[in-house]
Amino acid sequence: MAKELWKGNEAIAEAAIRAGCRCYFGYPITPQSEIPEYMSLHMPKAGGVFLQSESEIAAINMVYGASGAGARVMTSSSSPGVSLKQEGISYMCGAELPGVIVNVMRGGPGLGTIQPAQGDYFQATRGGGNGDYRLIVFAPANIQEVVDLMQEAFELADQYRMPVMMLLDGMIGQMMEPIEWKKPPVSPDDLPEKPWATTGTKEGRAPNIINSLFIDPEACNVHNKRLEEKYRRVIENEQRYETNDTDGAEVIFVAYGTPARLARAAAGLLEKEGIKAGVFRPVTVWPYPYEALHEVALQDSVKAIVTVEMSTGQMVDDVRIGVNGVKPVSFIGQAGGVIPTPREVANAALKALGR
Amino acid sequence: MKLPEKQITIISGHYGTGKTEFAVNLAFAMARDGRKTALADLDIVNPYFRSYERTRELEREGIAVFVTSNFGKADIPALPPDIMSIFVNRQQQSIIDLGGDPVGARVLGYYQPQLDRVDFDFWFVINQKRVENRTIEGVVRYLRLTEAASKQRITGIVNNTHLGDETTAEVILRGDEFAGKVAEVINLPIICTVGEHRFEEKLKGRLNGSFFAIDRYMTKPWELSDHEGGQFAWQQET
Amino acid sequence: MAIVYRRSKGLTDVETHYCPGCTHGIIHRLVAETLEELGVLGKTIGVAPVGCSVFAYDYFNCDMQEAAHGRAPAVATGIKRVLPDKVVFTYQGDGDLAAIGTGEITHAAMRGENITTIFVNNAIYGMTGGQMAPTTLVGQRATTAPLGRDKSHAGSPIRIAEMLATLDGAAYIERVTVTSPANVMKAKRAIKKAFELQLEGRGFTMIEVLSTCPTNWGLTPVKALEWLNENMIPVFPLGVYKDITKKEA
Repeated sequence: MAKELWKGNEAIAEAAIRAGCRCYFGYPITPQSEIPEYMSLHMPKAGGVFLQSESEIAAINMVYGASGAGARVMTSSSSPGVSLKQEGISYMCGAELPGVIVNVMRGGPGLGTIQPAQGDYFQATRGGGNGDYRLIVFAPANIQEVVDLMQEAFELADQYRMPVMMLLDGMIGQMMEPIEWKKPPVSPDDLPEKPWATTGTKEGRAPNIINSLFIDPEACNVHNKRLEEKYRRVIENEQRYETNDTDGAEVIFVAYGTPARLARAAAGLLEKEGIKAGVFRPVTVWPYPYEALHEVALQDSVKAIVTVEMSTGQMVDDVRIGVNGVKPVSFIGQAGGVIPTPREVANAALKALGR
Repeated sequence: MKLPEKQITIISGHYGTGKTEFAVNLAFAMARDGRKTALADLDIVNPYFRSYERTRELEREGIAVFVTSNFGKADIPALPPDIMSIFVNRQQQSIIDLGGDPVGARVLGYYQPQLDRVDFDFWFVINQKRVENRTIEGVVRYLRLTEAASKQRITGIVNNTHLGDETTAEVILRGDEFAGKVAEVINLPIICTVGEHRFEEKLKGRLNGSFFAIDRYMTKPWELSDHEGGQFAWQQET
Repeated sequence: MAIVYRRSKGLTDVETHYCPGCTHGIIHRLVAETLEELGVLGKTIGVAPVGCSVFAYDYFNCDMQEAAHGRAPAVATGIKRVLPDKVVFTYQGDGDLAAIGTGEITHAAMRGENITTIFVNNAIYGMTGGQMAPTTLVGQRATTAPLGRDKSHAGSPIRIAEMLATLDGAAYIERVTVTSPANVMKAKRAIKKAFELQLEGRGFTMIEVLSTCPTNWGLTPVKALEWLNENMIPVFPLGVYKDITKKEA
């Protein structure tokens, strides 16, 4: 199929529908409002449910109910709205409900700005709600990757019975790029059975109960251990990353989303100056590809690791865990909607190399 | 292409058609032609990739820039009072960059009394590589929705068919053919076909519309261009 | 020997945690009997709240979801939009529905969400140990209103039935109580009517049930019923506040 130009937010909405999602609940917020707008027009056409909720809190709890009822369901928001969803996300993890949550990040804290940022990394990867839980977090860097990952996001959510987050910075949501639809659309009729869902007993089976309450500490501990075991399987099987020119590189940029593309441009500038630079890009930021990063860092050629973020430094903690002291790790970033320039990023590498 | 003759040129089109890139380039072309030029960014739809982000470059060439309140940085579609001057000032030619869909075109309703009293053109930018522009019917439907929302008639078609970085001469040529068919169906002129300078030689003599060669100003933050600097106007100031 | 009383099929064979004399038991039974009589147990999904009735998911013999505090109407909305042909109800207390979840219940009613809400109002926070509820009476003591609810400080009780009745999306709203056999019968009729209207797809239905909390009120179960009759009903008058079938009559 010929390529078409799509806006990131529209593409993510269309990709969800093509992934068999027939249920969307959300509330408008810049810079992601094209998602509910697109859904409001196209979800009913696909025979699905679109509902603009009264709040982000209501939206995520509608997702909880719909997911519990067996639907492939999604919500989306931007940073302040995703903060409001944290309660529901924690409950979904506790009740082991699948679902996809899109965060098109803007600058914070608080109301911040509508311009792109990556200040929600800790919230996404460490959990902004209460309790011991994790989300699978995809951090695509271009719109083709956004649409390619969407189907996988829903599949992993169902497979592991846990929410999956698509973590985009506002730039990815707002920009246009040519894409093609590689995978055939999924019919909602072909989705895996969910025998645990509350669809009515038909008086033929014991009631299904969707619940995150385990009032007995022993039972709650057992529940947590079971979740931990599930997360361990996710860590083993679901790490995704991409490397560009990291073999034999002198400096390694580590970045996700828009900064990964800035880093590629910076690597190009450095190449002209005779410095070989590569980019390590985690595609899943949870589970984080620590070992793969460690392998790259171990190369003799590598003198410096430079983390690039649109924040004041959050993922850099994971980079330090992965590199584990074998090479110096430094950080370059801007926050609040300011995007570092490729030149700034290249200069940070030069500084790290002592030049 | 022949530069606008009227006091006001309104530019609309679905987001992703490249209407903003066209508007910014048109402003430069008019200023470089020695005309007193203004650009009003009245996009109440898109938070990013707005013409006002190029304010510094535009003002450097003497182009007056008007933008929705708070310099476009807030997602509030508040219209600036000073924009009224573009309807009054007959010594100046102005471009209005409208938000990219019928919703964005609603803004013209506000200025209907002013538009009733000036000569203006209303150009509709199409990009065949956008989903909504895939078919002639799609374009016509969108065009009519835009007219209904704006309460004004569109007077010309601009072909800006492109695929971002992956644009080829062939893509532009196909878009030009497509625009020709659209123009025929709705009986409107093709104002021009837009493309980067590098395509000019290849496309010479093969187009329905005259060629309007552009530079890319609405770049992504990682795209290295001649206009070194960040994405945003306020970043360039630092 | 004739059976004169048996457990409703709508309830599981589980001993509830409610204090003896607490009216939750009666209200559970009324909902369960209704679902059984309407023959919809196998196609019903209930939503339990946070509050004293948090374990309701163990007691109703149908599919259940446990919601976050106050969010039951949103959860029920998610279920009903996916499964419009099923029967969906929420069972919520006054803290859940009238405090933390006021937004969710109001907007569910506004949308005319085709669900039934059983709102148990006992004018106190039972679960957490007798704190003030939005429906606590002026002068009524609570652990967070040790001298009694002071109107100038904490305002006056919120009347949810009256409030929601103003919304076009509400199909049927009635306030009942279960302080006497006659009242129990009336409550049953109200609950049944609400579920029947849901089955007809008429929109949002809510039955507010004035209920006792003998333990937190510090009264015997019998005295608690008397206290409810004497003190709560004047503030929360019983009756039908919205009935869309009336207009048609």
